[in-house]
Amino acid sequence: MTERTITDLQVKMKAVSTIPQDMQTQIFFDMCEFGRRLYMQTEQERFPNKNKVTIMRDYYLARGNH
Amino acid sequence: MVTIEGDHFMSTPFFQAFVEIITLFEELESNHNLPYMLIGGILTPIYAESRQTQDVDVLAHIQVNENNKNVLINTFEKLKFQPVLSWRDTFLDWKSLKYIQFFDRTGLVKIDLILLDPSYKGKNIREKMKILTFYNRVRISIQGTDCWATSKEDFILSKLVYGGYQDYKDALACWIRYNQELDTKYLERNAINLQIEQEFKYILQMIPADKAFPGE
Repeated sequence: MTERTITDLQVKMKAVSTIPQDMQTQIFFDMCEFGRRLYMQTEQERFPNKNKVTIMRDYYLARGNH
Repeated sequence: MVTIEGDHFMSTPFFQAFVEIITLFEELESNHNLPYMLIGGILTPIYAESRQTQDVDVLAHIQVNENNKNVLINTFEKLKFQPVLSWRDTFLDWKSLKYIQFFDRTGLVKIDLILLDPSYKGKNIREKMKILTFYNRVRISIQGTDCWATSKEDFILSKLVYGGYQDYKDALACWIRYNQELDTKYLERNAINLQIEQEFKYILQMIPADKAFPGE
Protein backbone atom coordinates (compact mmCIF):
# COMPACT_ATOMS: atom_id res chain seq x y z
CA MET A 1 0.00 0.00 0.00
CA THR A 2 2.81 2.35 0.98
CA GLU A 3 4.84 1.59 -2.14
CA ARG A 4 1.72 1.94 -4.26
CA THR A 5 1.00 5.43 -2.84
CA ILE A 6 4.51 6.64 -3.62
CA THR A 7 4.54 5.02 -7.05
CA ASP A 8 1.21 6.70 -7.85
CA LEU A 9 2.62 10.05 -6.78
CA GLN A 10 5.81 9.54 -8.79
CA VAL A 11 3.83 8.65 -11.91
CA LYS A 12 1.53 11.61 -11.33
CA MET A 13 4.43 14.04 -10.92
CA LYS A 14 6.14 12.66 -14.00
CA ALA A 15 2.94 13.14 -15.98
CA VAL A 16 2.47 16.64 -14.56
CA SER A 17 5.96 17.64 -15.70
CA THR A 18 4.95 16.99 -19.32
CA ILE A 19 2.03 19.45 -19.11
CA PRO A 20 2.85 23.10 -19.90
CA GLN A 21 2.89 25.21 -16.76
CA ASP A 22 0.18 27.57 -18.03
CA MET A 23 -2.15 24.62 -18.51
CA GLN A 24 -1.40 23.38 -14.99
CA THR A 25 -2.24 26.72 -13.44
CA GLN A 26 -5.34 26.98 -15.63
CA ILE A 27 -6.55 23.62 -14.32
CA PHE A 28 -5.75 24.79 -10.79
CA PHE A 29 -7.83 27.97 -11.08
CA ASP A 30 -10.66 26.00 -12.70
CA MET A 31 -10.53 23.44 -9.89
CA CYS A 32 -10.65 26.13 -7.19
CA GLU A 33 -13.52 27.87 -8.93
CA PHE A 34 -15.44 24.64 -9.36
CA GLY A 35 -14.98 23.79 -5.69
CA ARG A 36 -16.14 27.21 -4.59
CA ARG A 37 -19.25 27.08 -6.80
CA LEU A 38 -20.15 23.60 -5.65
CA TYR A 39 -19.83 24.68 -2.02
CA MET A 40 -21.83 27.84 -2.72
CA GLN A 41 -24.61 25.89 -4.41
CA THR A 42 -24.84 23.42 -1.53
CA GLU A 43 -24.93 26.20 1.05
CA GLN A 44 -27.50 28.25 -0.88
CA GLU A 45 -29.78 25.21 -0.97
CA ARG A 46 -29.39 24.82 2.80
CA PHE A 47 -29.61 28.54 3.58
CA PRO A 48 -31.51 30.31 0.76
CA ASN A 49 -31.28 33.68 2.52
CA LYS A 50 -27.49 33.74 2.69
CA ASN A 51 -25.70 35.67 -0.03
CA LYS A 52 -22.40 34.58 -1.60
CA VAL A 53 -20.22 36.84 0.51
CA THR A 54 -21.82 35.66 3.76
CA ILE A 55 -21.40 32.04 2.72
CA MET A 56 -17.71 32.50 2.03
CA ARG A 57 -17.11 34.49 5.21
CA ASP A 58 -18.82 31.79 7.25
CA TYR A 59 -16.69 29.23 5.46
CA TYR A 60 -13.46 31.04 6.37
CA LEU A 61 -14.69 31.54 9.92
CA ALA A 62 -15.43 27.83 10.29
CA ARG A 63 -11.94 26.93 9.04
CA GLY A 64 -10.26 29.26 11.48
CA ASN A 65 -6.96 30.99 10.78
CA HIS A 66 -5.23 28.30 8.84
CA MET B 1 -25.10 20.95 -11.82
CA VAL B 2 -22.08 23.15 -11.24
CA THR B 3 -20.18 24.26 -14.30
CA ILE B 4 -17.47 26.76 -15.07
CA GLU B 5 -19.41 29.13 -17.27
CA GLY B 6 -17.96 31.26 -19.97
CA ASP B 7 -15.15 30.20 -22.22
CA HIS B 8 -12.20 30.66 -19.94
CA PHE B 9 -11.01 30.40 -16.38
CA MET B 10 -9.60 33.93 -16.67
CA SER B 11 -13.12 35.22 -16.14
CA THR B 12 -13.47 33.36 -12.85
CA PRO B 13 -13.55 35.40 -9.65
CA PHE B 14 -10.64 33.48 -8.14
CA PHE B 15 -8.29 34.21 -11.03
CA GLN B 16 -9.38 37.85 -11.20
CA ALA B 17 -8.82 38.16 -7.47
CA PHE B 18 -5.36 36.63 -7.85
CA VAL B 19 -4.38 39.23 -10.47
CA GLU B 20 -5.69 42.05 -8.26
CA ILE B 21 -3.82 40.69 -5.24
CA ILE B 22 -0.57 40.68 -7.21
CA THR B 23 -1.30 44.21 -8.45
CA LEU B 24 -1.74 45.29 -4.82
CA PHE B 25 1.51 43.79 -3.57
CA GLU B 26 3.54 44.90 -6.60
CA GLU B 27 2.33 48.43 -5.92
CA LEU B 28 3.18 48.21 -2.23
CA GLU B 29 6.64 46.97 -3.11
CA SER B 30 7.46 49.43 -5.87
CA ASN B 31 5.85 52.53 -4.34
CA HIS B 32 6.40 51.94 -0.64
CA ASN B 33 9.33 49.53 -0.44
CA LEU B 34 7.24 46.79 1.20
CA PRO B 35 8.50 43.55 -0.39
CA TYR B 36 6.35 40.41 -0.49
CA MET B 37 6.22 36.84 -1.72
CA LEU B 38 3.53 34.26 -2.30
CA ILE B 39 3.53 31.18 -0.11
CA GLY B 40 1.16 28.28 0.50
CA GLY B 41 -1.48 26.51 -1.56
CA ILE B 42 -1.52 28.96 -4.46
CA LEU B 43 1.93 27.57 -5.43
CA THR B 44 0.89 23.91 -5.53
CA PRO B 45 0.21 23.81 -9.30
CA ILE B 46 3.77 25.00 -9.93
CA TYR B 47 5.72 23.34 -7.13
CA ALA B 48 3.76 20.29 -6.01
CA GLU B 49 0.43 18.61 -6.72
CA SER B 50 -2.49 20.96 -7.47
CA ARG B 51 -5.08 21.06 -4.76
CA GLN B 52 -8.04 23.26 -4.07
CA THR B 53 -7.56 26.40 -2.06
CA GLN B 54 -9.84 29.36 -1.49
CA ASP B 55 -7.43 31.87 -0.04
CA VAL B 56 -4.10 33.43 -0.92
CA ASP B 57 -1.20 33.50 1.56
CA VAL B 58 1.38 36.26 1.34
CA LEU B 59 4.49 36.86 3.44
CA ALA B 60 5.65 40.47 3.46
CA HIS B 61 8.38 42.50 5.07
CA ILE B 62 6.24 45.20 6.64
CA GLN B 63 7.25 46.79 9.90
CA VAL B 64 4.40 47.27 12.32
CA ASN B 65 4.09 51.04 12.62
CA GLU B 66 1.52 53.77 12.11
CA ASN B 67 2.95 54.91 8.79
CA ASN B 68 2.79 51.43 7.25
CA LYS B 69 -0.67 50.91 8.64
CA ASN B 70 -1.84 54.05 6.85
CA VAL B 71 -0.05 53.07 3.64
CA LEU B 72 -1.75 49.66 3.72
CA ILE B 73 -5.22 51.01 4.44
CA ASN B 74 -4.94 53.68 1.75
CA THR B 75 -3.76 51.16 -0.84
CA PHE B 76 -6.39 48.59 0.15
CA GLU B 77 -9.11 51.19 -0.17
CA LYS B 78 -7.78 52.57 -3.45
CA LEU B 79 -7.80 49.08 -4.98
CA LYS B 80 -11.16 48.26 -3.36
CA PHE B 81 -10.06 45.45 -1.09
CA GLN B 82 -12.44 44.81 1.81
CA PRO B 83 -11.88 44.41 5.53
CA VAL B 84 -13.37 41.46 7.43
CA LEU B 85 -15.20 43.90 9.73
CA SER B 86 -13.47 47.27 9.56
CA TRP B 87 -9.90 48.39 8.83
CA ARG B 88 -9.64 49.51 12.45
CA ASP B 89 -10.39 45.97 13.62
CA THR B 90 -8.06 44.51 11.02
CA PHE B 91 -5.09 46.31 12.55
CA LEU B 92 -6.13 46.06 16.18
CA ASP B 93 -3.76 43.21 17.10
CA TRP B 94 -1.46 43.13 14.11
CA LYS B 95 1.62 43.75 16.24
CA SER B 96 1.13 40.66 18.40
CA LEU B 97 -0.54 38.42 15.79
CA LYS B 98 1.99 39.26 13.05
CA TYR B 99 -0.64 38.84 10.38
CA ILE B 100 -3.76 40.44 9.03
CA GLN B 101 -6.67 39.12 7.01
CA PHE B 102 -8.79 40.89 4.45
CA PHE B 103 -10.87 40.18 1.35
CA ASP B 104 -10.60 40.90 -2.34
CA ARG B 105 -12.92 43.34 -4.10
CA THR B 106 -15.71 40.75 -4.45
CA GLY B 107 -15.51 39.68 -0.81
CA LEU B 108 -15.13 36.04 -1.88
CA VAL B 109 -11.37 35.47 -1.69
CA LYS B 110 -9.50 35.86 1.59
CA ILE B 111 -5.94 37.11 1.77
CA ASP B 112 -3.77 36.10 4.73
CA LEU B 113 -0.96 38.61 4.99
CA ILE B 114 1.78 37.28 7.25
CA LEU B 115 4.27 39.82 8.52
CA LEU B 116 7.99 39.25 8.58
CA ASP B 117 10.06 40.68 11.42
CA PRO B 118 13.69 40.61 10.20
CA SER B 119 14.98 41.78 13.56
CA TYR B 120 13.59 38.68 15.27
CA LYS B 121 16.24 37.07 17.49
CA GLY B 122 14.12 34.56 19.41
CA LYS B 123 13.90 30.79 19.10
CA ASN B 124 10.55 30.41 17.38
CA ILE B 125 11.22 28.16 14.38
CA ARG B 126 8.39 29.59 12.29
CA GLU B 127 9.75 33.11 12.70
CA LYS B 128 13.27 31.93 11.82
CA MET B 129 11.92 30.14 8.80
CA LYS B 130 10.17 33.26 7.54
CA ILE B 131 13.44 35.21 7.65
CA LEU B 132 15.44 32.43 6.00
CA THR B 133 13.02 31.90 3.15
CA PHE B 134 12.12 35.51 2.43
CA TYR B 135 15.57 36.52 1.23
CA ASN B 136 15.66 33.61 -1.26
CA ARG B 137 12.44 34.60 -2.93
CA VAL B 138 12.20 34.06 -6.68
CA ARG B 139 10.42 35.78 -9.55
CA ILE B 140 7.84 33.55 -11.20
CA SER B 141 5.04 33.98 -13.70
CA ILE B 142 1.53 32.63 -13.17
CA GLN B 143 -0.63 32.89 -16.29
CA GLY B 144 1.40 35.87 -17.47
CA THR B 145 1.29 37.62 -14.10
CA ASP B 146 4.81 38.16 -12.78
CA CYS B 147 5.13 37.93 -9.03
CA TRP B 148 7.47 37.02 -6.17
CA ALA B 149 7.24 33.60 -4.59
CA THR B 150 9.11 31.40 -2.18
CA SER B 151 11.67 29.11 -3.83
CA LYS B 152 11.03 25.37 -4.31
CA GLU B 153 13.53 24.46 -1.58
CA ASP B 154 11.98 26.93 0.85
CA PHE B 155 8.51 25.69 -0.10
CA ILE B 156 9.60 22.25 1.18
CA LEU B 157 11.27 23.63 4.32
CA SER B 158 8.34 25.81 5.30
CA LYS B 159 5.86 22.99 4.72
CA LEU B 160 7.90 20.77 7.01
CA VAL B 161 8.15 23.48 9.66
CA TYR B 162 4.36 23.88 9.67
CA GLY B 163 4.22 20.14 9.99
CA GLY B 164 0.63 19.22 9.17
CA TYR B 165 -0.51 16.23 7.14
CA GLN B 166 -1.36 18.33 4.07
CA ASP B 167 1.86 20.34 4.43
CA TYR B 168 3.89 17.14 4.41
CA LYS B 169 2.02 15.92 1.32
CA ASP B 170 2.84 19.19 -0.47
CA ALA B 171 6.52 18.93 0.52
CA LEU B 172 6.73 15.32 -0.61
CA ALA B 173 5.09 16.10 -3.96
CA CYS B 174 7.56 18.95 -4.53
CA TRP B 175 10.50 16.69 -3.65
CA ILE B 176 9.34 13.99 -6.06
CA ARG B 177 8.50 16.46 -8.81
CA TYR B 178 11.76 18.44 -8.73
CA ASN B 179 14.09 15.94 -7.10
CA GLN B 180 16.89 16.32 -9.67
CA GLU B 181 17.07 20.09 -9.63
CA LEU B 182 16.73 20.86 -5.93
CA ASP B 183 19.66 22.11 -3.84
CA THR B 184 19.87 19.13 -1.49
CA LYS B 185 22.79 20.54 0.52
CA TYR B 186 20.80 23.70 1.24
CA LEU B 187 17.84 21.58 2.30
CA GLU B 188 19.94 19.36 4.57
CA ARG B 189 21.71 22.31 6.20
CA ASN B 190 18.53 24.19 6.92
CA ALA B 191 16.55 21.13 8.00
CA ILE B 192 19.08 21.01 10.86
CA ASN B 193 18.82 24.77 11.52
CA LEU B 194 15.04 24.58 11.58
CA GLN B 195 14.92 21.40 13.67
CA ILE B 196 13.04 19.39 11.06
CA GLU B 197 15.71 16.76 10.42
CA GLN B 198 13.33 13.84 11.08
CA GLU B 199 10.68 15.21 8.74
CA PHE B 200 13.29 15.83 6.06
CA LYS B 201 14.57 12.26 6.46
CA TYR B 202 11.03 11.06 5.77
CA ILE B 203 11.03 13.15 2.60
CA LEU B 204 14.42 11.75 1.49
CA GLN B 205 13.08 8.25 2.08
CA MET B 206 9.81 9.20 0.36
CA ILE B 207 7.69 8.02 3.26
CA PRO B 208 4.01 8.60 2.41
CA ALA B 209 2.04 11.10 4.47
CA ASP B 210 -0.21 8.44 6.02
CA LYS B 211 2.85 6.69 7.43
CA ALA B 212 4.65 9.88 8.48
CA PHE B 213 1.45 11.11 10.13
CA PRO B 214 -0.37 7.98 11.32
CA GLY B 215 -3.87 8.69 12.55
CA GLU B 216 -4.29 11.99 10.70
